[in-house]
Amino acid sequence: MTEINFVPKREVDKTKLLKVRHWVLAVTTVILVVYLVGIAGLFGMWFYQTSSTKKTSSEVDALLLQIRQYSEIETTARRLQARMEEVNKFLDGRGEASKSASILVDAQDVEVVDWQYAAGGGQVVKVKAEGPAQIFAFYVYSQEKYSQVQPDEVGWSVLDGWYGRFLLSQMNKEEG
Amino acid sequence: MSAKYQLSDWIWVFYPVLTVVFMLVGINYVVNNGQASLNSLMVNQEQIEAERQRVENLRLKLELLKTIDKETSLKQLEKMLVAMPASRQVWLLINELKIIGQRSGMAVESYKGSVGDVREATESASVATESAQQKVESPKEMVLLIVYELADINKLATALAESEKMLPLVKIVSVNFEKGKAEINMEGAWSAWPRFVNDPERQLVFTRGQISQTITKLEKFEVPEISTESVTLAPVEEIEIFEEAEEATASGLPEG
Repeated sequence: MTEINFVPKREVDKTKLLKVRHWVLAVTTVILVVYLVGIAGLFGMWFYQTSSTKKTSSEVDALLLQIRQYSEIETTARRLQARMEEVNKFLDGRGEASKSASILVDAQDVEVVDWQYAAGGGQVVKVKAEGPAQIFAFYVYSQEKYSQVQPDEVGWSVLDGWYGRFLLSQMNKEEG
Repeated sequence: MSAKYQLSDWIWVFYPVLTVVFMLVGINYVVNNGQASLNSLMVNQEQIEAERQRVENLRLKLELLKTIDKETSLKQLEKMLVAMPASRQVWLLINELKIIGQRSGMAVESYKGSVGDVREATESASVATESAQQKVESPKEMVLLIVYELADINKLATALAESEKMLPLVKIVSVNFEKGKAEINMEGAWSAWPRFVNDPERQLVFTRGQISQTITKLEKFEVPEISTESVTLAPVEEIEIFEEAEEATASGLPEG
């Protein structure tokens, strides 16, 4: 069935144009509102940042002023801290000379005739004894005190009698 | 114009057109130029974060400074200076060695030392020349070679134990014990004042607990009195001290 539109074409066009116009105006308004909100947000952020910068800057100035009033204390504190670190570093690097010597003093049945010690390095010790048994006992004793004991020389001479030379290094932790 | 296309029917078009123009101008300004541009906003945000961190650091430093007692710190510093003087004070080391010899019953045969340039760096020192600064920061150690006459290792052990209990601190660098003699290389502790720049923003490290522990440790040590007793000594020529003290002070504490 055919419908016949009696409305004039000009009126039809006008109605269509009006619809387009409404749609464009609505969309434009929405975009404009979103844009304005965005711009307002940016300006708000800028304002906040500017005031924050001013605030922190004045805080920094005030703190610096106060810290400068403590400059003498700060210098003393820095010196004290630095010296304490130096003292501890020196104490830690002192080695174990006296402990090593006392280990040799405590050795039984041998006489220490030669001892060379170097901080942070090994030691060379020469002992005299009545016989090889005592020298072996010293070797066993040294092994209890040091993790590395190396017999370098064991011998006998008319002048020295029985003697042994040992290389000692790395004192056991419980000794040090 | 025909009545079909009257201007008044198209005025509404100016609204979207002007809106687009307005937006383009605004976006161009925001992106490229203005103080509130996106770029500067991003940079500002980073700067603000950095400034906040700076404020926080300064605040922490100020709080720390407020808790430090100057008098106590100076006393602690004096004790540390007794343990480790700020200049090479070789006479204190020789005094210690003499006392060690007396206490352990050993006769001193000779001293020989290389102590380098004796100089003190102070905070008040003006801008130093490069060479002078190098001398101040010279890592040279103060080492003395002392030769004791002794009969056995028992006395040597006693001497070494004594030396490790005395202030200023000493370090036994090497020992050569042979045929009734002991050659001991002893390093005396010293350390020049480090150079500090007075910058209030520089971070302050102050480990109170560690300082107290070190002081407690040092209190167990002995500060020997300056010995005036004479001991068996080699001729004075044996003592070789190069480049004698130029600016060494007795107390070691700088002014200010």
